[in-house]
Amino acid sequence: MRTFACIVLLLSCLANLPLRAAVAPEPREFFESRIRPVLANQCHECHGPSKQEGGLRVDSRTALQQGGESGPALVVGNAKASRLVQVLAQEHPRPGKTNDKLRLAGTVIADFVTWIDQGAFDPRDVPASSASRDTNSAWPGIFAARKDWWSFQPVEKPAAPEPRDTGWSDHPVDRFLLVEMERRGLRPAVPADRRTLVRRLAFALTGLPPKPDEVRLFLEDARPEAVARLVDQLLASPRFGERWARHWMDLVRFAETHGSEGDPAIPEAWRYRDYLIRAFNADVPCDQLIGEHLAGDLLPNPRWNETEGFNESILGTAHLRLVEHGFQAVDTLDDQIKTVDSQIDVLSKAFQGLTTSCARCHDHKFDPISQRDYYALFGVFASVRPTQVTIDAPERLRVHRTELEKLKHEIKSALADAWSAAAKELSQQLLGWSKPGEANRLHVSGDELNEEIAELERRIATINNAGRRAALTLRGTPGTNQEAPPTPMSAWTFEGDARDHVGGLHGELQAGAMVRDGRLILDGKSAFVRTAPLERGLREKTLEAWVILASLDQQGGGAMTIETLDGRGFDSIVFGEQEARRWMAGSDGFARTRSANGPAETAKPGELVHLAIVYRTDHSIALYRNGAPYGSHYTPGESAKLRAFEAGAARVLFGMRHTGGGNPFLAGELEEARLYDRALEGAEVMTSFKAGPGLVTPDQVEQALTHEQRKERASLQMEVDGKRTELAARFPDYVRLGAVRARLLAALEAAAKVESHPLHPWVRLRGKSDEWFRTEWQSLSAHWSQERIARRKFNQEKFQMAWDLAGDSAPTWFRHGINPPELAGAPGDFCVEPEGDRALPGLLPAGIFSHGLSQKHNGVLTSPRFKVESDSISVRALGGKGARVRLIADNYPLGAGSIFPQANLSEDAPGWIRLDTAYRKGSWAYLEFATADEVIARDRPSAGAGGRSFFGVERIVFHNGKETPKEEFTAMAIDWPAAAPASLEDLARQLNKSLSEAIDAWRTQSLSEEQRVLLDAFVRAGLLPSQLGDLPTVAPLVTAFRRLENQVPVPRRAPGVLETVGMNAPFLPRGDHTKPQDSVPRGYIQLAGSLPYHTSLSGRLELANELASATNPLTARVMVNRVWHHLFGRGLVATVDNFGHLGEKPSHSQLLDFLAARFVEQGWSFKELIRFLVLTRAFQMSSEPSERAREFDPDNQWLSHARVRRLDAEVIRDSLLAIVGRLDVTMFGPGVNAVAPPADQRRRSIYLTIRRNNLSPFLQVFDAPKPFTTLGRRDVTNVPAQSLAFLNDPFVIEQAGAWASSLLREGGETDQYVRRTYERVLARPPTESELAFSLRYLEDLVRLHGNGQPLSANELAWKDFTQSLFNLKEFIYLR
Amino acid sequence: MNSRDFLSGAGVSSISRREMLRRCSVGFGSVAMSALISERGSGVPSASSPSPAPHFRPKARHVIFAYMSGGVSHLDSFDPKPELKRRHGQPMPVPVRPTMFNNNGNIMASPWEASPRGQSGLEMTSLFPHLAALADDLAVIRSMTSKVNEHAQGNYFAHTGFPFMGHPSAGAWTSYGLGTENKDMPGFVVLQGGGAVAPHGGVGLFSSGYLPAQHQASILQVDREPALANIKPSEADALQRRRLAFIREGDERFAQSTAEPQIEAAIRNYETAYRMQTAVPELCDLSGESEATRKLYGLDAPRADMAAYARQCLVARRLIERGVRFVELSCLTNKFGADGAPNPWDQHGKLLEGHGSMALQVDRPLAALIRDLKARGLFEETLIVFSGEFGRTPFSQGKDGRDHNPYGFSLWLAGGGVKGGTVHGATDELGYYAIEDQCSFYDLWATVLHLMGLNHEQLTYRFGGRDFRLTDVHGEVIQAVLA
Repeated sequence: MRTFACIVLLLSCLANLPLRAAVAPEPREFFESRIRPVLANQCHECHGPSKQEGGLRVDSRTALQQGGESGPALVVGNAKASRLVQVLAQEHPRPGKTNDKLRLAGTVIADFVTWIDQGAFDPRDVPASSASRDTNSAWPGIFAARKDWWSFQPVEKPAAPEPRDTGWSDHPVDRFLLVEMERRGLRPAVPADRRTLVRRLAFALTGLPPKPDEVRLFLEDARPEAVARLVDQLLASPRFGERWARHWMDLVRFAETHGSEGDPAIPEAWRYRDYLIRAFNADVPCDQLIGEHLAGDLLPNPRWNETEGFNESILGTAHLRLVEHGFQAVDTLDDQIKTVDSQIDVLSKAFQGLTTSCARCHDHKFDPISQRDYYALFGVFASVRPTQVTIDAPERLRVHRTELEKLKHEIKSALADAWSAAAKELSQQLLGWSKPGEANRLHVSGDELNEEIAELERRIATINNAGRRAALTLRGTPGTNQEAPPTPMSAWTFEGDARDHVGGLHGELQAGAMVRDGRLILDGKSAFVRTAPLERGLREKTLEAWVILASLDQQGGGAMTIETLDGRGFDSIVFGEQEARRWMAGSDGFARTRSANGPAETAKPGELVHLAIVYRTDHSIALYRNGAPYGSHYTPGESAKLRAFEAGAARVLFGMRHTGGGNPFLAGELEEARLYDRALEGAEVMTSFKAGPGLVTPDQVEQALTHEQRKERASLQMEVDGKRTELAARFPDYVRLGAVRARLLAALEAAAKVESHPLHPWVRLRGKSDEWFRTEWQSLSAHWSQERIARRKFNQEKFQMAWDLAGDSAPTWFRHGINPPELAGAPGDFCVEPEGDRALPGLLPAGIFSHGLSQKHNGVLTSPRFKVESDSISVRALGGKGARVRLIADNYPLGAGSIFPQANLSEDAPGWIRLDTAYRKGSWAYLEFATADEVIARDRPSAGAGGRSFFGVERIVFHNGKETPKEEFTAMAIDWPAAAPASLEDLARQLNKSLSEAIDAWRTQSLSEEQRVLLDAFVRAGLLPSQLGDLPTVAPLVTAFRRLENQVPVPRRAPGVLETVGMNAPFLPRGDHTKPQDSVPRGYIQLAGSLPYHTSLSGRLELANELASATNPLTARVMVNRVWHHLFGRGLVATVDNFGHLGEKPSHSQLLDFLAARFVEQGWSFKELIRFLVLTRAFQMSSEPSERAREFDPDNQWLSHARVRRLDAEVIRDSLLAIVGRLDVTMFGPGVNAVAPPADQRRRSIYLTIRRNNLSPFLQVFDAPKPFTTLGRRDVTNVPAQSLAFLNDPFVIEQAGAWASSLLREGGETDQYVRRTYERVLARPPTESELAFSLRYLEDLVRLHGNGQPLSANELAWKDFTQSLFNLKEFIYLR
Repeated sequence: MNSRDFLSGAGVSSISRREMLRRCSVGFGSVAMSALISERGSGVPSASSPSPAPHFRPKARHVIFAYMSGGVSHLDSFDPKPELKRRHGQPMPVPVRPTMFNNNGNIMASPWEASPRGQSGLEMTSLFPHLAALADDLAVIRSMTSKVNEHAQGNYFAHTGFPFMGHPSAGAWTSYGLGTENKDMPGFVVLQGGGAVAPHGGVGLFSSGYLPAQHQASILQVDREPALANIKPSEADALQRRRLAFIREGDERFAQSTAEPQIEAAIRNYETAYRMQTAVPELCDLSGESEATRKLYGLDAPRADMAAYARQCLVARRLIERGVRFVELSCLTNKFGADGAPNPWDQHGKLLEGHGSMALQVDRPLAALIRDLKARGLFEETLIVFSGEFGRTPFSQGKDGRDHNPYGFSLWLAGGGVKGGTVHGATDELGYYAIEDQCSFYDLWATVLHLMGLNHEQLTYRFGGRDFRLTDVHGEVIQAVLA
């Protein structure tokens, strides 16, 4: 075997020698690719600039010719006589490696022989100086020499030449081509027949086969200009844009995910795909398109989509976001370098045909692109930040702005009136209710009557409870004499269905879930129940379920869950996920999950276990099992506060942890489940457990009551009704005063515990005699001032103010979106609640807020770039509905978890939030505040109902400890009594005065922060009314406001970038980012640019101008060549993505320049260029080569006939659908699953979602690109997998079957069937002999299927036949 | 014999597919072979593609890549550190580099005892007892490093030499450099089974990148029907043969009128495809394997994951016998620690249970594979590579896990051209950093290619204006592990 291998090796070497010599390679490329690397890698170390063993150096031709101690090493033209070859052919010792001899392969030696014999082309005029690699001193010389290359010269438009044969064509393109053919003795082929031509045109222009009608009309059109008419028709088809957008997508490595672990989505990437389709259909000029790709967000006059009302130009920048990202980058700078490298790579290959990215670690090996050039460009891209940009026209989002502002002003005014009145009343109430002896029992007239009513209702409840117990006993549930369990907001008993017996959250059985014997049966594989969306929002809550586990070893199933509609946010009763056999409170990303340290579950098969999880407003979470605490309750911490679930935006699940989770299903049964809109006390959970499952509905209670009980209840009820009427008549204000009292009582209770409460002094001083009043006041007052000084000192010492967004810092930050506003607002602004009972939650401090008018107004607010130097960064901020603050290190947007500092903003009142930044110390970073849909992250938050989300920021501090700053302005510390009050009356008067002054200041826009804190505290404590029910004059205004706010549209977003300030990138020697050197001014490569850019911005606009320019020697040439490649099957420059020294030279350089110049003259119009090219005779030639062409131009370089080409992957798939009449031509919008079953995949392939880690297998088999770099020329491979796909893929078979059944439905003779199928599949009728062998085949099929069906009705035979026509090469090869 | 008669379908429906193939070996099948060979270069210009022959005399003809996705702890397997035991529970004496989860604990001793093994005295822990018995066949490199500290990029880096998608996998390079020995089999096969999935990063890890598509891995599901996408014939054999005859007749006219070599090649692909439909199921049919062989591998082991991995190993041997160049094996998840199906060795918690369970899965089957290859005389021409994408930290993550460590870890080679019982390189006393003879994946692949008879610097492919290599611009053959 080995001997055989050696012989093969020998033979292949021998075989290679003459072959290589025969095909004369382009000398420069040959040298650069085969000779220089060997010399540099194998020889330079000992025979280069630093060392000259044996006196020889090999780094220039002169030096080689001079040779060393043993004489000349190189004799040009005579390899045999060149010592170099002899030495290379022998084993050669290598430095420092005694056992390792240099042994070069035979092919390498053969290369040297070829090189020397053919003249030893060598561009290395002078030996390199030893320092040149690093110091760049030789670069100007190298640059000048390399710049002397065809593609870097200005484009000049040549005149079309005069061929000898003047009769063939007048078209300038044909004349250029014919001259070259004539020079080589070639003649152009005859014109293609019309059927071939219509097929060729349809595929080239629309990527689809011609429709039968189109073929017929074209064949019948005997008038002149028939081709031109067909071409115009195809260019006008919407299918044109879909075809040519796909070509462009190959250039920008289009994908809709970032790859790597988890393959996170690039949200709304499909909008960029649609943008391209629209652009090609609208024939947007190429220079405009390129400009938009680089700086669409910065263009002074962007293109507006009038129909959709959005900015088209900005969508171009999405291509900057189509990069791969690493997962959880520990080294974010490394990830940024890869990201920018990808951006530079794509930009320079796609639009310039240059491989600039080769210059990342060293000056380009072949082209005039220095490493400095690379870092000049790097700075441009590293200056922009990834984000989701808003594409809507601002006026669309600012709808009703004036009216909303006006209404808000009126609301404020009405609120101020109501508050003034309430403030006055408050001080009287406080006084009135503070008489000795009444301290704890505030009296309201009517209380006695009301107490009588309450007593009657208690008696009714006793009867009802008796009925409930009776109902349970009737049903066989163990009766109980315990007190009645708490009342849920929703309850599911699974009697017959998954209906909610209390509220409206009815569930639907999904994926095999069953209800049997009053239980929900869950298979642990796919079954679950999903309810209707919540009807009102939930903050504190209790989840409760009675569960039977099918197995104690199952992992991660959820018994009961409340989740956002997209499943991204949830709270759940989960079994065995993080710890085997243990229960836990599951949550999104384990944010609120901690081990409760409960015992392992031991329930026996069939045993019912009762579970409850209580979520409190103090953010604590408590688990209960069978009524007793399960482990210990816990508070997850500042970054994982209680999660609010919004009305309409959340739902309940049973049997599934959350939508989109791995292993989410529970195997077992659910007896019953309940949801409470409050946090149950431990005793209540126990009561509920003891009462057991078996919710009793009012109807059941009714039925269980005895006649006497019913009678008694009815009479009690009558009495209640009577007394209620009396109460209302005698004490009309009773309800309102009762509510005020309740709030005041609650406030006083809270004030007793909380020093900072505005009524704390009142509680402390109430009941003190005059003598002690003064002393107590003094001690309180002294305590306040000391505390305030201590806090201020603490804040000053421990924290470094980073930015004050309520003050000077606001203009230094960067923003995008309809909001946040440019400048910080004054204290006292507020947000009108878009729904619910409250008019407003409170008053905002000074700062930047996104939700001044509407929570639909979105925004991103980012800080200047800074180096992280503290362990912590704290922000005083607020927000809700998915808003988030993040530290973004090195522009890496996808971080999640503990190594990426971030926090959800979920409080509507401002507070300090600490980000632990220790891990990111030393990184360059910025802070980002963003509304939900602006957050790019693996774990994207979800917005609230109607797309609402909001945030606000006051200030940011750097610090090292874990404590956040202390509040300096608390209601406690407010200096409201200027003089020490002498009595409670005095205090009440002063309270009233302070409040009234604050309200007046608020009214007149002169509110101070101290006053804001005071008012806000009273509003939030319910002491100044915010409930609509208490605000009769405000309520109608709020209703009007909400009506308009509801009409504000939800903004549309797309991937994009945020322009900030320009930042020069450091030069990285050898590309090593751990050793940055001086920064390089931003600019474009010296070859085609003017260094450096004079701008404070990134420089993208300047770059766009340099690329999309008529004077750029590359842009028009590269783009024209791409179009040529797609139309003629091979570019005039075959290496379409490389116009540098390693690319191929143009076959028709004059023609290329003619087309490039003309392209610019014609306004960079793709449609015009395509039309111009397909109307040549060259495009319309037959594909049959002449004898001479077969012999002398087998590659068809001189285009004497049309090139046969295989269809692209997408075109093959689309054709299968189009031919059988099933193509869904719906345009635009989110993509469809590329790996779905055939029946669900009928849209054009361009609308299949491209997930980097899950590419369409069918398209991949036919060489669809892998989205990682520019691919202007696709591979065309031949692999058995393609045949296997055509033989066995269900997609192919399904389409064949669809055609067969429609064929038989139409009816007719069998040879008509054959003809019709041929015309459909191949756009031509069969020849007579094809008809004959087709019929023979069909007869055999009938026989082989043996199903007794005659041919005319044998669907299987026709399906097979159709599939076999798909199998023909003529189907996938275009002539 | 005229192949067209064969395919006419008329009167031959009684011949079985297998019989058909036997007869085809002198019929159109021989054409199929030339089709595969002529495919080379039919796609992109191939100025830089070498002829499918080694650069010099190879030591091995096949590679089996036992990829331990998720990252095996070197400290608990092939690089035992007594110092960890001594310092157990103490803080790290050197600064800790940023970790993935930033939940770093103190130094954690290995729960597995170490001892010298075999004649060579190679130090190994008790984690892999079956492999330990073969210590004299293993060449352990203890000074591996990776550039990447996360799974997906780490997997790409380990497979392709670049941390992103798009570049050819080592198997594709091997297939490209050497071609395949069997016309009915792809040159590069990834085995999955028992529910194994591609490591993080997805099937792009097995891609041919910019190399011609025939070098892409075929992913065989060893325990599933069909084992390969579209390999199961959609119709009866007689129907399919009749179909092929029809296609051939239709295609011939078209081929003649265009004179395009790529069309000729595409036509012949149908014949190769036809043969593969039988060859692949036959490969996965283990009914002919002896009871002793089944036992040796653990094919009937009560643990489903071990049985599935054993099946992969046995199919790997069958692939080697059939001349496949490069076979990659896939681990199965056992759901321990913070792992998932794509990264089963990733024990951020519960190291003892997780590594213990994973070792049980692969230890016996891999040892059996080595023994079986030896018994059949194939060990000498097969190179086995055992590696994950990185190692794990000497300090704990949480209370009982280990985080990722790309700064120093171990892998081993065995088989053709490898000096067994060798240790190369070393990490520091805590096993945190590789300090002696640092090696990289570039060096690994340079060595693998070297053993396969290929010079890694000369195995290049021109794409987008640059000559790419599996070893980028790096890589040294690790001489110390060569026999």
